[in-house]
Amino acid sequence: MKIVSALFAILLVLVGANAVYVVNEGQTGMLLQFGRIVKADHRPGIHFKLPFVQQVLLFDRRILSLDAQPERYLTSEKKSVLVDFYVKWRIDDVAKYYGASAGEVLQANQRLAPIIKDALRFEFNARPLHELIAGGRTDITQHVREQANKATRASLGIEVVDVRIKRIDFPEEGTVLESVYKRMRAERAQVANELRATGREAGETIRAEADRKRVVLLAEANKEAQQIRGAGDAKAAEIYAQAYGKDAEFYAFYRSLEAYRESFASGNGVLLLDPKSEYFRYFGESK
Amino acid sequence: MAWNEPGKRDPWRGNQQGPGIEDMLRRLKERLGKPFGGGSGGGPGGGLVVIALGLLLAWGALDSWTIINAREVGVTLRFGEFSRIMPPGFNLKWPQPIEQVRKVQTTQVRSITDQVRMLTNDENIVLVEFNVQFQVTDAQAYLFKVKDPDETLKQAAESAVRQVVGKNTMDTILSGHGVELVGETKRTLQETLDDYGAGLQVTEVNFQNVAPPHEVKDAFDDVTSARENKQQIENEAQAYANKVVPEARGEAARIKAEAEGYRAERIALAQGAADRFSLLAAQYRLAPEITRKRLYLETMQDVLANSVKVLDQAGSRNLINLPLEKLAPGTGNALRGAAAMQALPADDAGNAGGKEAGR
Repeated sequence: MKIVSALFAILLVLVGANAVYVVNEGQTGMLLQFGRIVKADHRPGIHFKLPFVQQVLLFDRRILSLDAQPERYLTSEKKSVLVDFYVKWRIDDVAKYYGASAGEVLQANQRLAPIIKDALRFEFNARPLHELIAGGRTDITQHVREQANKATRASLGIEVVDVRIKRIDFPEEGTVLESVYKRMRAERAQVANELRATGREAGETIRAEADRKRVVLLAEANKEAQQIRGAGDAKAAEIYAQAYGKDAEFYAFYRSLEAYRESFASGNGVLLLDPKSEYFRYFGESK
Repeated sequence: MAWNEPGKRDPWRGNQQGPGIEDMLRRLKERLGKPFGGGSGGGPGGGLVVIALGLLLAWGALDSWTIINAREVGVTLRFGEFSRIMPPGFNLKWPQPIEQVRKVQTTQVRSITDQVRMLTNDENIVLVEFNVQFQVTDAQAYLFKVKDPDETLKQAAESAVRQVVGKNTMDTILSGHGVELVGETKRTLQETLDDYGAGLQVTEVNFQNVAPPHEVKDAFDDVTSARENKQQIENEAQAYANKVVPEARGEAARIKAEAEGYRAERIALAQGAADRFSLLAAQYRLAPEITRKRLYLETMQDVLANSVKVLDQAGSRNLINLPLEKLAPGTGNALRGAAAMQALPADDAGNAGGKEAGR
């Protein structure tokens, strides 16, 4: 009797354990009855089911990640680039998701990757590189996300939350990278040359300006000097004229005498004199 | 991910053992009958029930509280469903199968560092080493919104840095616009994380090192040295200008000063000469005849004292041969002087000369 009741109790425990299940926060549960989906979207919490007849499957409700290998694309100008991207997705329709990927994230990612890659390829092929690098990033990923969503919602039960490009790079092999470096070097050389040339230009300008200032300063000074000298001469002439003008006849006499004195001051002149001149008036006779 | 057996391998429960057997047991007994109410086992398997009850009580006592560290918060789940956030300190809770607590560090600032090669807007390549510091602000979201939030942050950070670098030219990125770039990166990254609801707050973004690739470093260094050269050339030119212009100013001042001196000299000389003449003229007016004669004779005396004299008898037409070279050691000047002197005033000396002789 005791054994029977104990067995009965154990049986009850087993059955009871199979009748209860817990869906954790961040998860969703799906109830199957002999493989048929009975209820798809269980919220977190404790739930009951028919023991052994019904089976529960739990799925991650959080945002999941696809971080694939970098993919090589051609841009619209036929430049080869390596694109590293990641996709954030979450399970949207549990039943579809289970059907498409048996509930395996890895498998879902394997199905998702080509869809995203195709959408990206389409966008990359249609755009020039600079647009992809610059402002286009948000736009194209937005577009890719929408495109991918159409496909994944219907076929995989997945909602693509975000597609983001981590890197756009030139492939290591081949000549692209080397030619980019060559161009960068050339651009730098250009900048360096320009800097040096503008430096010389500025230097010459400064020197020339200095020389100009010097010439102008000297010319102005000479002009003023001549004016000052002229003023001096004029003032002197005025003073002479004023003084000499009072007695012009005497001045002529006085000035002439001064001139004679000056002219013969050296003493090596020879004078051929007329004895009849006034100086010799008394030379011959005393009266 | 799917778990075919509930509770068999459920990562959410951590080390929780079994599918909550105790819970089941209790529930079962409650349903089976009331004998539990009094606490005394009345049924046939009374001993078993008492043992089970004892274990249950012990378990309940051990697992009905938890201590949350000051740097953590406790996220409490009741039957898997989010119930509440436990603050740091001593907290009561229902024992394990009913409630479980997951502790999340919230005050700790975490950090990731990464170096990536990126394309700039002008299709140049730049190496960026960046560092992102972040902390958990919403523990519930951190646990239940995104799988692997830390890795997500790293991905989003790389994408954000790339986006900002891609929007700017190499020159902008290299020439110390760090603050703006960092601000934009932080903003973009935070927006992305908020979109995901990752429960993370970016506290700081740093660009630790932004450099051109090693392959072209020399070219970039050359630009730096060119910039220095430019500065040097300009400085030298400026130095030249700073020397030449003041020197010219000095020379100009000298020229002007000389001119001033000349003017003063001329005026002084003129004034002196004029005054001398005026004084003499005043005396001359008092006795013109005498003064005139005296001046004339004095001058002639001086003139003739120094010169070789030859007296020629007036009217004679004889040719006198004068050995001029011997008479005066002077040159042709003397000859011309002599010739000029021949025409020396023969009559009244007072009538000689012009009206005035300007200097």
